[in-house]
This record gives sequence, structure tokens and C-alpha cells, in this order.
Amino acid sequence: MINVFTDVAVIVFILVCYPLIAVCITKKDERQSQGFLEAIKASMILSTFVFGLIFIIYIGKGIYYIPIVIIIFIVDLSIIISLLVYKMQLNTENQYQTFLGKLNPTQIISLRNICVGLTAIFVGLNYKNFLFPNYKILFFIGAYVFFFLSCCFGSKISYLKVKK
Amino acid sequence: MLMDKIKIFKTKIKVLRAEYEITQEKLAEKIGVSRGTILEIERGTFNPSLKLACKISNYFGKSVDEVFKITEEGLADD
Repeated sequence: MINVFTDVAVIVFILVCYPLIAVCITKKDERQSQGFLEAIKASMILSTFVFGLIFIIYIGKGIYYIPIVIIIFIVDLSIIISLLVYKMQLNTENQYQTFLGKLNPTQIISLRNICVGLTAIFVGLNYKNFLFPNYKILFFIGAYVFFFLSCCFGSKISYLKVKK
Repeated sequence: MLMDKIKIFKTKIKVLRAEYEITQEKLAEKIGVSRGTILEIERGTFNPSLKLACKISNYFGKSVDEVFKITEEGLADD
């Protein structure tokens, strides 16, 4: 079964590598270069998040190594995300607006504060694990996810000006 | 993870293109960028570098401040 997954991961890797190489070798103007860098940034952030999440789940199960097939799948995911974001960045027909783009600064700050609060609650529950010993891994994942979200919202705040 | 499209520049490229009777494709070809870049600059959703702004201005025989204008909103952000 593991061999099948490895084969699939490798085939997907080969398939996604071709468009990535095509994008990389194409001559770009400054808007395309900017879009490419944005795409790499997005894929790095998301793949690091996924890697951390998988790592936490494995640690929760008491496994202290990650199989190579998982690493290949994360690389596949990273390449797919970077290609999608690149295409979205260069699209001139439909202007995509992200969920964050629709929110005003006050809403973003509120969301960031909610996420920080939830992270603190999950960390606290994890620390007091004798209360719910079976759910320790869930609390850990919850803390990780909300910490990631609070970082995302927090990074957005630095670009905003709050009305006094 | 997309960046917000901030409208800072107001440009006269569209007017100048109409004056010179030149299409976006032709201008993009002369400047050495893609048509999408010219389109986004005209819309005000992409802020060109100084180098690109100079190239565009020089093509029309104008100075940069004649072709591009920064809005009050853009100045306030700085």
C-alpha cells in the first residue's frame, strides 16, 4: 500500500514539475516576477503549515519520523499551490479578492485577537491535560492552527492603518 | 495568498494611447512587457517601477509626472 502511495506521489511530482519548469524558464516582466515571488511565498507558508501539522499528528501518535512519501506529497502540494497562485496573480480578467482583502482593519484586529485567545485556551487545555487526557493531540492541533491563523491576521495588520 | 490591490497611481496612459493611436499590445511590445502589465497599470491595480514608468513616459515623449500622478490616498499611506 505504501508503495502505491509513493508511486502516486512521484508521478504527481513529475507531472507538476513540467509546468513549474515552464514557468521558471519563461522570461518575465516585473509584474510576472512579482507574481512569481508572491506564489513562492504563498506556497512556502502553506507547505510549512501542512508539514508542521503532519509533524504534530505524527508526534501525537508517538512516531518521531516522517515517511518520505509524505515529504513528496508536501512538495507536490507546494508546487501545485505556487502554480495556482501564479496563475491567479497574472489573471487580468477576474480580480480575485481574498477573504482577508474584504475585511476592514478593525475586523482583522478582532479576528487576530480571537485567534490569539483561542490559541491561549488550547495551550492551557493542553497544559492541563489531566482534565482531558484523550484529547491532548486535538488541543495541540487546535493551538497550532489558531496560532498560524493569528500570525496570518497579525501579518496583515502591519500593512493597515487603523482609524483613530 | 494574494496582495491587496491598492489604487495609488492615476495614469494618463489610456489617453495618451488614444492620442497616439496605439493599442495595448503594441505599447507592451515597444516597452518590453506583457499586455496584462499595461492593462493593470491603466487600471491602477499595479504600481510600475520607476524604470518602467520612465520607459513608458519616454515612449510618449513626456516626463514621468505628466503620465503618472500619485493620489492623495497614496500620499497619506506614506
